[in-house]
Amino acid sequence: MSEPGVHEPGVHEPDVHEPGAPDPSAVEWATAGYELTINGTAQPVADAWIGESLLFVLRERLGFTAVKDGCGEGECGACTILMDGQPTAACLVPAAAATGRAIETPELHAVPQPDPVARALAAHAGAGCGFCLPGIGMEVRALLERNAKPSAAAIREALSGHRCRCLPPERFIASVDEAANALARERAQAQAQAEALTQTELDAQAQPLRESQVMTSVNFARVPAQGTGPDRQVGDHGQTGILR
Amino acid sequence: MGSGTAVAERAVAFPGSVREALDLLAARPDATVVAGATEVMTLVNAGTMIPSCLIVIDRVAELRGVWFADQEVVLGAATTCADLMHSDVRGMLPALGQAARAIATPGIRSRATLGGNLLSGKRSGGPTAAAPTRDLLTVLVALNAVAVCRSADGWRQVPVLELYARDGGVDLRPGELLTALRVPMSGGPQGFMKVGTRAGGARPLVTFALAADLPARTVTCAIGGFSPAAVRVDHAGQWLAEHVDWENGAISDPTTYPRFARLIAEGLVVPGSAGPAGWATAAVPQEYRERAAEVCARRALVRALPPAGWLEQVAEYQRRAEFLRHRARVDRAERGLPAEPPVPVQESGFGGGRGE
Repeated sequence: MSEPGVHEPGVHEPDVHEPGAPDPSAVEWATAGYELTINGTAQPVADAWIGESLLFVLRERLGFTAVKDGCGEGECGACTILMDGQPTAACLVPAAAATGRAIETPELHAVPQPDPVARALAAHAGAGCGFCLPGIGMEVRALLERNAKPSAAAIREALSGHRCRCLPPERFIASVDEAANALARERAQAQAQAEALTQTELDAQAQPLRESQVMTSVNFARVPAQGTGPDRQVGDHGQTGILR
Repeated sequence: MGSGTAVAERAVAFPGSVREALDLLAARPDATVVAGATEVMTLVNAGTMIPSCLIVIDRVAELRGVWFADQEVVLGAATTCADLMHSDVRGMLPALGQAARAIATPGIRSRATLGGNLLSGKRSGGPTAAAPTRDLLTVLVALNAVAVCRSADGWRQVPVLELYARDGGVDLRPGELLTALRVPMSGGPQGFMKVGTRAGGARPLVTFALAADLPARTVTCAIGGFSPAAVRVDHAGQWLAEHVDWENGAISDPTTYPRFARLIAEGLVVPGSAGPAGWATAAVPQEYRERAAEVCARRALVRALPPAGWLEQVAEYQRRAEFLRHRARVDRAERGLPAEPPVPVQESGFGGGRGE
């Protein structure tokens, strides 16, 4: 979003200069240019201070403002993103070190059309201020990716790093349950559709496949001739399943 | 060496191997070595640290992963806490798995590494760090782990506590890299407990780790969290070893549990003598800390040594170790990961050497 060169190093000066901290005017601000892969798109970042967090770069330089800036020390979870599918606190990752990682921000899943997780969070936890929701959404997506039907304890543990000051945890457990059910329904539908599609495709391709089947059978027919297996393996080598 | 000087101009470097990382470190002694960078970034975000050069080692395959050998478990220094929660590690070193799971939150565990946990916080002779957070150190001290460091001069292997100076600051030599932790195998139950300022991810007030070695009939325990470095509590371990019914792998006298806990709490060093506890937990009164240590010790012992037959337990642990060792070797081979841990070839129990 912001052009290179506009950025002033002074932005990073701490508000309160602590006694142990280095004097910001005396140090050299090392910069680097790199490329981040965000939501599947390469995003070049030029001439950025190497101490900038991924959170800062996402929000201030690239405009992914669904990632929220809460505490800056990994306590609140509002800045959670997915890096290579793992939930990660963006405020504690140097942006330069995230090169080559697949980064997913809430925009990928909730803009413009909300996915089941975002819909469930809006339905059950929409009464709060909403500041923590993008981060919780990313954590929930990672949770549902590895555990399609999480227990209440698993949900509590997964969301332990997210501070919500508005709503009780039960709202989030309910929304994760609903999202899990919605995703299961979607998967079942998609599978039914794929099966119907495969069936029609298979019907169309049935004839050529049977011809190739004959060829394979001929090859396999040699195996029992060498005395390594019984004859009934000929038609039973796994590929027949496709034709059913 | 050529690669080191070529990249020395750049502010961020991604070494592909330990050797490259050492070359880079030699070329830029002012560089900050980061893996997960979770500790470094809290300092950078707070403005107390301005890095001049980053050496990012989280993608060095040599440093990442867990190797199960015959007599020891070797933990790569850049293994993340999320990796340490894996069921293989939990099966072999239950206390370490529990400690890794108790650290921070999922979003941080996916990045934070074992080496970073050990080398975080106070530097030797430096100012007080924000808070002592070396939870994994408590477990490694109780397990008698050995730290393996690599520098241009070669390898250095020391007991893990010797990584720290007397004031609890990290005492790594210049140009040195922590590559691995070697944990000797101890077949027996282990326990870990932590009390923090709240239930979720929090700075620890007290961490306690206990490891019983059934074949050797010894108990080692360590306590940390209140001072920069954890300490072994040998007198309590020796006392406990005399009160365990080793034939049955059980504690026959139930009063042993509270007496052991009292022993731990009474030996708790006053924070002032072991180094300041830090901002987050300094306000906690000493009585509360002692009480927390007592509860930790009692619960860890109850969970580690419940009544059960010890012979069956030894057999069970050996069987499980054999199974894990085999499966982990096959797993590493399938995933194309290096078969050899980053430790010297001569002394390791591995067949087939990788040249220096």
